[in-house]
Amino acid sequence: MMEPPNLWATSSLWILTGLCFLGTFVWRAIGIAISTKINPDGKWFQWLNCIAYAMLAGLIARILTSPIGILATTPIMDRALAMAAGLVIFIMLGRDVFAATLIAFSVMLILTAARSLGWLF
Amino acid sequence: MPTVMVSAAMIGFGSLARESGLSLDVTLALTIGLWGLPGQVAMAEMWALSAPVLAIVAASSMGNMRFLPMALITAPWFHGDNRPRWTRYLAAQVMSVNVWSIFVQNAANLAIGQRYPYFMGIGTICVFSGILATILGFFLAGTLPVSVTIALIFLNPAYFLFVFSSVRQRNCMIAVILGFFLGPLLHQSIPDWSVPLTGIIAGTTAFLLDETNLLSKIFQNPAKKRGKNDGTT
Repeated sequence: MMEPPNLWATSSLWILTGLCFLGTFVWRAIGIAISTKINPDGKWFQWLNCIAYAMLAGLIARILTSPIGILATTPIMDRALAMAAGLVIFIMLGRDVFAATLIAFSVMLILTAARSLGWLF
Repeated sequence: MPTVMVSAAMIGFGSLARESGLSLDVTLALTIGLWGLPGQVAMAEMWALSAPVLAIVAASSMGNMRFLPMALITAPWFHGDNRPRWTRYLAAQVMSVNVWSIFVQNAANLAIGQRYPYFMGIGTICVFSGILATILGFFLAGTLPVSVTIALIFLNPAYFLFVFSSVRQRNCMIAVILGFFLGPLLHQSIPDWSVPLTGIIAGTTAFLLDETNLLSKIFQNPAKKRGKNDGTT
C-alpha cells in the first residue's frame, strides 16, 4: 500500500533540489555563453552538431543497455526486442517516429506485463 | 506528438518520484528546474537510496550534460535577433530534446525574428504539459501497475532514439550510428566520462568521415572503376 502523498519538502531537500538545478543549468548556460563565437554555416558548427548527436545517441544507448533504477529490473532481452520491433516499423514506414515509438512502447509493456504475471521466465 | 511524449515520460517520472519518497513540490521543481529526464531520474533514484548530496548532484548533472552541445548549436540560430541576451538563457532553460529536435529541423526555414517565438512556443507548451503530467503521475503512483511505469520510463529513450535516427544530414546520421555503438562500449571501461567522450570521439569521426567523403570513396570507387573498365573494353 502506498503512503499518503507528501506534498511539501524539508528545507534540506530543497537545497539539494537547488543544487541539482544548478548542476543542469550550468551546461545550458555554458552552451549559450560560448555560442556567440559560432557561425551556423561554418565547419565548427557542423563539427559540434556531430558531437551533440553522437553524445545523445551514446547516452540513449547507454540508458537502454545498462539502465539504472526501475528500468534495470527488466531483462536486456526485453529492451532489445522492443527497440528492434520499433526499428523494423521505423524502416518499413519510412522513418515514422510516432509509429516506431508506439510499437516499441507496446512491446515493452506486453513483455513486462507478461513477466510480472508469470507468463514468461 | 512531442507533448504526448513529454506527458508520457513525465507521468512515469511523477510516479517514480513519489515512490522514491519525494514530495510533490520538489518533484515539480525538478521537472521545471532540471527539465531533463536522465538528470531527474538520477536525482529521484539516488535520493531513494540516501546517496551523499555531492554524488546526487554530480550524477544528475552528468545525466544532463548533453544540454551543453545542444545549447551551443541552438543559440547561433538566434544570431541577429535583437531580443536581450537573457532571453537566450531562458530559451536554454526550456530546451529539451523534443523542443530542440523540432527546432533544429525547421529553424533554417524561419526568418530570424520568428525563430525565438517559435522555439519558446514549442518550449512553453512542452513545459506545461510536463508539469501537468508530473502531477498526474505523482497521484497515480501505486495505482499504476509496475509494468506501465516501466514502459512509460522506457518510452522516452526509445522515442529519442527514433527522433535522432530521423535526422537528415549525413554527418549527423553517421554520428548517431557511431555514438550508439560507442556509448555502451565506453560505459563498460570509463563509466564516468563515457557520455562526453562518446560525443567527442564518435562525433569527430563522423564529421571527418563526412568531410573527407571517405565513406562514399570506399563504397563508390569500385563501381566507378567498373564503369571505366566497361567503357574501355
